[in-house]
Amino acid sequence: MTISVAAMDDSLAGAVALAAAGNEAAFTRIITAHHDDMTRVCFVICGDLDIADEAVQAAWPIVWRKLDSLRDPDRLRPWLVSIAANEARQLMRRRRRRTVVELSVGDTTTGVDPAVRVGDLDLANALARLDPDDRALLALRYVAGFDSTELARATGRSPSGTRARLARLLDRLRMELSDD
Amino acid sequence: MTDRLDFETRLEERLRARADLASRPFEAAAIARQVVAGQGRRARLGWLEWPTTRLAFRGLAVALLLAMALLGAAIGIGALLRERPPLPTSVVSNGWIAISANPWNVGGGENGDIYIVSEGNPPRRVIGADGDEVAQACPRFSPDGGRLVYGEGRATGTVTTFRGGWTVGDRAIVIVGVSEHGDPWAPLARVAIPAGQGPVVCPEWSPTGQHVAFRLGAALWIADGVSGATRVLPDVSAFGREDNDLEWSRDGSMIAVAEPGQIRIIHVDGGAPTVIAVEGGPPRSLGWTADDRRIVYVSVVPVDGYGSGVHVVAIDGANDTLLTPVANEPGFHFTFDEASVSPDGTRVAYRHGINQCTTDGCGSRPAPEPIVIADLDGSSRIDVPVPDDLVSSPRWSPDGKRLLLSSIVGISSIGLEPGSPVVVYANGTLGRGLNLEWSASEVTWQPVPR
Repeated sequence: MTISVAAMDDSLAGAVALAAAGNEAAFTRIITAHHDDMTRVCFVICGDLDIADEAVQAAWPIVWRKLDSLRDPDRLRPWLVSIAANEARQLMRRRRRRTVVELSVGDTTTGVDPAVRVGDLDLANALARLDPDDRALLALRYVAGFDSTELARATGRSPSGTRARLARLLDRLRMELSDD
Repeated sequence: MTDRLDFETRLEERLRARADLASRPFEAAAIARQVVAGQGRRARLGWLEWPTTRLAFRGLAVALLLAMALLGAAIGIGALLRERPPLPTSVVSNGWIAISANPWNVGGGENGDIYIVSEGNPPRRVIGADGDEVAQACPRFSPDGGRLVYGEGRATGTVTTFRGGWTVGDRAIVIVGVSEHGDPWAPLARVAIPAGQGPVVCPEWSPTGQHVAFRLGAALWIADGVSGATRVLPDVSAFGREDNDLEWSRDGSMIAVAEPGQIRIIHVDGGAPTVIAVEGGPPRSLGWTADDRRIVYVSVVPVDGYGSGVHVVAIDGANDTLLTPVANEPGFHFTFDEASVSPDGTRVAYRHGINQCTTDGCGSRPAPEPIVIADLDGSSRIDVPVPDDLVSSPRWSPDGKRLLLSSIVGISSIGLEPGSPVVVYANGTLGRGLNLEWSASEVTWQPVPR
């Protein structure tokens, strides 16, 4: 599932102004449009639905307090996703928790190709071995679809540093997933 | 070798599929109600996660921070002038600047041509053409400025703008002569790389200009800079990571290659490599000191929970020293990256990032990140404030008097003195200049012997 970014953000420009002025209904519209997108990104970072939910729940009060600082409504989506991703990273760092994905015998009846399931589990475990910052980088790039400028802004690094880190990450994952 | 682009595409699909597992019904109105009821608006901190603070406030903050940085830098320069002997007169001046850039529309099946950029003039493409389906990347001017070497290749699958995941066949390195106007005037050599796919090869000139070296799998290739005659040093890499750094020593007798957890010193004329163990993954930004006895590198190991630090280590692995400080103010973290050793091997320039963390999370501080110049013991530090968007990949000019800054928004340079005006050579992104999204670091400045 992917949010239809441009059109939605465009229609939400007015909602941003209203919400920044304290309008709860407008804020509800923003939540409706972006909550799912933020949760999906946080889940890839956290590897745990409950922690992802917690991160997004923590993000919305920040959004509410700071919405009046959003100068460019066109950047609403990356701004929101960045805040949620930041919360997810912080939660993971605080918990110092490594998610290990285990193969569940009970799931073998779902009809999913076992090879596909094992591949997904490999991916989940490879993600779990990464630093939360690296998982955030992957989630922002491939799930949220950030370009390199947005990635650099969201991660506090230079665009070239971000690109280099992303390239190294891809190499590492490629090796860990035995894709050669 | 599996196509790296295919891997990236499949990874994206799998990550999105995994993310879809988190899509669940939610009650937006209830969330909003809870947030609004529980959170009265309060004064915001203003410099967190995303640089979208209102212009006036941000401008004031930036002005204050700039003033502080200028004051600090002025004090630093005073100390520098008192304590340091003058640098030797430079024997080279600065010529043309070349960079590889992506076309705006990669649908033509290629990714990367080579452009010459200069102040006040539009970028001029000198190598490559629309739709030629050949990519040119990683240009490097020779030490005498008279030749240019670059990697080239032909796309083997879907082409995207992402250089890191782009795979080509028919790979080669090409050496051309360069006219006084920066134009390639003659092909001198083309070293074809054996069949097989991989990223475009990035060659590096030896300091004498006699050879170029490049990594290919586990091997190090050294080609004659005129004839293209090649010899291969097999198994110099324990990991076969050809995209990691490679740096010639100043006398041309050694090549340092970055590997995960180590720097390997390859002796060009033979002999067992020397291995320097470093923490973490492959170090970055390798550079040799003036006497070729030490190597500067950026470690990927965070120095204070964030980012990375600039080190210098003897080539026997002794005295590994962290040159950059650790933040001592609660809530702040430093990152140092993209180090570049000066042409005379006595100083290092690097990017200094600052992250601020609060209970709301961590984010970069929207103040200009300075470029730092320091001696190789970390002393005589100067902070050169640079406009925020331009801070990236500082590289020394051939004469050692300027720093070339290449970022996604453009190519520019700045003098070493704080407050020096920025000279802009090319705009990037925004659809009106060069597309530098994934190639900003592939830039080279021509030395011109006096």
